[in-house]
Amino acid sequence: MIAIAVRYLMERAVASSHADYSEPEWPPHPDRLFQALVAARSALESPEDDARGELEALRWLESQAPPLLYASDAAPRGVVTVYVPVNDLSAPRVRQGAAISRSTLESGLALLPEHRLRQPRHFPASVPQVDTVVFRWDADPPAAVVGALARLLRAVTYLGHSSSPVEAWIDEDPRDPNLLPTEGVARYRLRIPTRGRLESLEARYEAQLRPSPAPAVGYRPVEPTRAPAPGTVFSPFPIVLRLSGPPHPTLTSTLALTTALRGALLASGGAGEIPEWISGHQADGSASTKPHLALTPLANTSHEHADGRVLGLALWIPQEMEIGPDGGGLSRLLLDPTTGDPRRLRLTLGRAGVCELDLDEREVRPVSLREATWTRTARLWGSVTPVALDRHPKQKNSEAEIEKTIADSVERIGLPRPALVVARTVSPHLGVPPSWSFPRIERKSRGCLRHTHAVIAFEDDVRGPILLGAGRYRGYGFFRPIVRSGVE
Amino acid sequence: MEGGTMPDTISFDGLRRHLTGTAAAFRSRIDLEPAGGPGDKVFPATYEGGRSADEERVSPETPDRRIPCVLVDSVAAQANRMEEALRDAWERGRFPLPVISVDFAGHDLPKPIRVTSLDAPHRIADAILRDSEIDQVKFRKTPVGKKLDHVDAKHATALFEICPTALVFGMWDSTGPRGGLGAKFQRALVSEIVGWEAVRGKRVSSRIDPLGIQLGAGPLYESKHGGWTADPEQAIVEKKAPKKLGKDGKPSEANHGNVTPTIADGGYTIAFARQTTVISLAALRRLRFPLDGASRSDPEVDDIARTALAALGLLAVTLARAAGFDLRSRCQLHPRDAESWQVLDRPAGDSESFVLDAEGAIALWTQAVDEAKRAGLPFHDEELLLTPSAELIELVRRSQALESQGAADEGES
Repeated sequence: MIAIAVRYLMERAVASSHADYSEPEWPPHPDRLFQALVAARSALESPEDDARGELEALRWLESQAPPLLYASDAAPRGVVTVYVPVNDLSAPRVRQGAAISRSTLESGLALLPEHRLRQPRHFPASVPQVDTVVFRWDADPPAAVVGALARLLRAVTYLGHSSSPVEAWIDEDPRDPNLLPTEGVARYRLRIPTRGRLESLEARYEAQLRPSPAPAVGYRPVEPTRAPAPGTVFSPFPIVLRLSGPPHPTLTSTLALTTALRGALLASGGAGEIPEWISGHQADGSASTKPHLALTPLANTSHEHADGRVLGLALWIPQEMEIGPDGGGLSRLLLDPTTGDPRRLRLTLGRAGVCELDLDEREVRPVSLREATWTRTARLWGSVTPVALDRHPKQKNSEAEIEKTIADSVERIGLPRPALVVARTVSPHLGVPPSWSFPRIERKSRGCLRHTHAVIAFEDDVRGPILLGAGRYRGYGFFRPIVRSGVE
Repeated sequence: MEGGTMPDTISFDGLRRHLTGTAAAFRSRIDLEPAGGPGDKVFPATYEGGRSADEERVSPETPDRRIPCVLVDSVAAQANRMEEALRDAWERGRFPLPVISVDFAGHDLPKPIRVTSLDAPHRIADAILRDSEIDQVKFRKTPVGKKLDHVDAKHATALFEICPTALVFGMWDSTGPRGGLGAKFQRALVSEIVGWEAVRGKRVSSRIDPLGIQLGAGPLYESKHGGWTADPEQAIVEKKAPKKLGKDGKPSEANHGNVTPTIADGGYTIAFARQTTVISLAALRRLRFPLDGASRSDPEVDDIARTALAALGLLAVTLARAAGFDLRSRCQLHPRDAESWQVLDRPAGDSESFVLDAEGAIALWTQAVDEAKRAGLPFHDEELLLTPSAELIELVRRSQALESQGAADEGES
């Protein structure tokens, strides 16, 4: 590995793009560095041995694969048209005593500095956020090449226009590259030196011609590696069941739907034992203390014409469940044991009628039935069904206490504590009814659980699904990301 | 500057050590404040259309924030100021310097002018020098002038002799005998002033006529007797009609009447400005100075010449700074802190630094000149005077005469 660092001493790079001379070039193309090295070599005029070493070094460099680059972002300097004085004038002939026309007078006076004609020129420049760029080749050069390159680099004066002086050296501990050569369509196309470039540059210089353009290679930015967003105790891979009506239930029927679904699942189990994680009950009939199968409605919300209709139901499996080939016992509930085909589940919703659920295995589905809608990463989340509060607030109408309770429940499902919780009667998502129109969950001991809609804001992105509060296994406290405009 | 010992000034030997070492450049940064204090308006360099060069920079203290900035004084403008400062101090005899001047004195001009190699737009390669003469021989055909035909980086001796500033500020002899392939020397000194936290302001300009002359009071005509008249009888007749003043005879053509107020962009408020100056030692090391027509140069002589040029660069910068930062109308800046120079020497580091004031810089340059002469380098102490061509003298005489008349005549002698 050998890395060359170049530091822009004036903290900006004045260099024109090959494609358009009025546009600045950034990042600096590897061929530009190569040309600077070739120029340095002819300026050095080293003794014979050194000169041979420099030749070898440049030949080695030009035959390498395109380098990896580190270059920070750069902001362009506002391009201005500068008028620079010309130099190709001479005083017109004037005879003593003869009349002089105005134009002759002007062209003669143009010689004087204050009257000198000017021609427009552009000096496009970029201001990088970090004044140093690094070019890196992964091959290991012979020691002689390294020494010769170090000598040449010390003699490099500028990269681009002479008003952007640079310092260049061999970097023993280079930064990680952020631009890599790539095939196909690429963000940047940078010119690189190839075998024979040195000869071509020298030959054209001898013939007093400008350098020929070097071939270009695509470069793409490296995605910065980020730590994955934290998830919840629920696996982000749910089983989605599509609901076909009539009837077309709305979100307020959530409890009825999930109760009916769980009943249907248990009923289809037949004689066999239902695992605790599916039933939610321990052997002795008491409620399970571990995370278990949660059921939520998937409803048409959030967009402009959302009507809040439930399009399907999702089965959320706890992360810690190791689901084997039998789906942890879920398969025989969802699939016909003889044919292996998905069962059609019938849900009886009392007076509302019967609706049918099918496993949704379609490739293309409505947005609300796609897993990603509920399990993507996001910072802001809004409730689609109200959060049933685990504990009754001590003070009546104490928003702060309610919000704290909700924040606690966020932590209970494995997420970091949110930066902000706002509890309100109304959901931020269009199509979601206000919290008072949802039936309350009844407690076996006494009364009903209070519930409320909420908006939750995290410091950083987290990954869904987010199911909070005392009703989370039954579809209450189910959240959907609040997506900022322009992004879906 | 952090705490610790104050950096010392630099000696000729110290300077020479850097020129023969591995340091890439000297860099000096000074922070400046607008004369009216931080947050006051300054008028930066403007270009075509009255626009200024905006940019965004990032400060190491706040790496996530893009700070709006504006170019206050460009590389070219800074170079001009430095040459001007050199000229001023040299004219007062403070130090020796080879200068070539085109002097218009002694030719009966109402206003004599003098253009030197320090203020000609293209320096010694400028057209005005090219057109001037010594003893009726065109400058480039004289023995001195001919030396310029064959200078290049490896044979820079002649320029050291007659115009060393060309080796510091750069030069391109684009109209000499080799045309576009003439001698080209990259600049070794780059300086720029950028204003930070720049916010564009608005300027109102208008003119309220104290005489209250309305637009309808016209039209005005060119008078037979010179000037303007409102009486068509008194007007010059052109194409069988009285000739209107200017384009359509409006009172504003005679400088009367109100001018509609316009709001133009006016200046910027800045928190501070920063002047960054770099002297590239790498660029100086590319120059070679063979003596007496030899084909190769002596490395020791080269070292001394390069050191002298570095001293000249330091002198130019220091004198310009001492002259103050009165850049243009409503653009006056004051230095906030003391100036120092950092020696840039990667990969080792940028730890060395030094200070230099005007007196020290003059002493350094003067000593460098002595060393150069001692090493055998030619140095033209006397000002080289050129005579402007007869054509140019005549033109300037006519032009100055017209100016004082105050009118634009055609073809009257």
